[in-house]
Amino acid sequence: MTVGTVAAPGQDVSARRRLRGLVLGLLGLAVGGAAIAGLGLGPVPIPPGEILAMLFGQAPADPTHGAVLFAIRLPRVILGILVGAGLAVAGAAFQGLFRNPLADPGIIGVSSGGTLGAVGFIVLGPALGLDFAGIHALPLAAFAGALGATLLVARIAALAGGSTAALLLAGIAIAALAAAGTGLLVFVGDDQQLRALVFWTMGSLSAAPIDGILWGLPALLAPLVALPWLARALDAMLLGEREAHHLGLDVVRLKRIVVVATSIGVGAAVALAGVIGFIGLMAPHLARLALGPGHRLLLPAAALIGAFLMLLADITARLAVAPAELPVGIVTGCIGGPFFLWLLVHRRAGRA
Amino acid sequence: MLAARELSLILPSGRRILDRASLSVAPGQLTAVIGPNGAGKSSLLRLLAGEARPAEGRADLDETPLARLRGRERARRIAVLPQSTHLDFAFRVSEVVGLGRLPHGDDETRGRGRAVVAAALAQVDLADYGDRLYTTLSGGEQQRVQLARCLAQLDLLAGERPDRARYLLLDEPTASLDPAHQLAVMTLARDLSRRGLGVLAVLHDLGLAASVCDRLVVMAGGRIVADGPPGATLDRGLIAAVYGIDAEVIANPVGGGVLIAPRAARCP
Repeated sequence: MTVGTVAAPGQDVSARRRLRGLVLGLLGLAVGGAAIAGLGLGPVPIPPGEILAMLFGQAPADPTHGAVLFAIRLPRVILGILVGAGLAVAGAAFQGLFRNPLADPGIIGVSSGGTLGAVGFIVLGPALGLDFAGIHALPLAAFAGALGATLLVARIAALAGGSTAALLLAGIAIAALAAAGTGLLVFVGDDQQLRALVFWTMGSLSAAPIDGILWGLPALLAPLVALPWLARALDAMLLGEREAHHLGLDVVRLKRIVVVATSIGVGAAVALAGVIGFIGLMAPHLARLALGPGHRLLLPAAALIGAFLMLLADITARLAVAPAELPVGIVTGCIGGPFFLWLLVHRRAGRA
Repeated sequence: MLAARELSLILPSGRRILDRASLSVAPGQLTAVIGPNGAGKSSLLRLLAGEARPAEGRADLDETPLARLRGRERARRIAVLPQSTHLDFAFRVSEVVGLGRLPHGDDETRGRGRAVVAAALAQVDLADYGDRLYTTLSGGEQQRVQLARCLAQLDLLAGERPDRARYLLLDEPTASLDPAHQLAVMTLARDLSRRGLGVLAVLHDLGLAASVCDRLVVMAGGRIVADGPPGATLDRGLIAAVYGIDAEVIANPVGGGVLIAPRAARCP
């Protein structure tokens, strides 16, 4: 076995790198296009040229257009981008952590905990004398529920030996308990509360006020900022926990960072937009199909695809039954359910 | 030197799965650890890999307890080849081998990592496999890719003499391989030891261990019960005592070492 003259692996590395750059660039353009569409479409249509002019600081030609753009649609589109990207990156990281392409942050109870927090606030808030109309109180309750459930799951998993399987099983149990609690609250809630919580559990980008989004910004950005630093470590985790340890990683610390960063991000997403399913599953998968499983490209690509899908789903939710509006969770569910099944059947084939 | 000093591992139930085991992995030597299931072989390997902390005793790398080394420092000098590695994600072969570069801060596309990964793939006879998808390879090929990953991790380039000894631990590396691949992996392990690596392999195949290894460490009931060159270590009495097999040990007429010919087994 000689060494000296062997070609380096992947002679077409530079060509592949160019292609990957192109894919990321196209994804960025797609997000930009979807954002412009999201800003322009609706009961008051605004042409793209006018949107760009207003975004770059020109005084609005039509004051109504200015108000609609900045007060209604821009917060919504920004929230959509952040929620979509955050859910997608969190999903990608979880799939790496659990070595399972079908994993989702919901596994550690973050969504069900958030739902319990929100529904608990809607149903029990008035009885407990909490201000029902408080703008930030509902997202805060949801955020607290999401983080509380995750911490509980992590703590129980640590007591049970700290393995990934323990984390998963504890997550399933806590999610079931939270769902039971939510069900009980739904059962005792009155009609008006039911309406509020049904809309909340189906997800919507319309409910969040602009200052709520600003408050949630650091939390929404947490996974987007923290996880790309762990890309190589997540690659190593795909080999297995023991193997990652043999490669010199502190696996316990890595798991802790991923769980904390994702639950803060997903908790904030749940708090501001309700439960939106399948983005965290679909976006990483599509990214893997396009760019392979390496997390250094997967995480940014998944973030872009997640943002794009979220914007598209929101536009659909607004236009499908106009002038009424569908909860966006219904749209992502309609696309995501069949996608999940397709994945299940075709997973063996190709690079997914 | 990678050394186990009086290592004990005790289960919560109080059972000693490892009982005061002492052993040095010598650079330049291929050592096999053999013994029946439950003898403590894998536990010994886990402690030497820094995976668990011993209840008693120490596992040292050059007199420093493994537990006190930074993970990255340890990983540059000790690599572990698992029994088999299943990947649900379709990495390219060069990407998998490039993961071995993690403790060195580069990868298969740049710097020294590029040359080391290419050399490691050539070493396991997979020089042209860099762009193939790991998930499409056979079990034997996947095991060789993982071995190449270990070599990339130990930062080996042909012609270089590492300043400090490196160690390769093999955890039943041949368990899922056919005889030809078993021999190929173990022959490569021996070649690597000849290049100065300290190689320790947990093996079940006595014949394979006796024919390719320099030294046999025999374990039973958590203890090391014999340690020495195969010819001097394996005899009828030891095999009967450790495995409960009545076997003839015959000098191997081809290639040296010994052959084991079992006559009858009683369940231990």
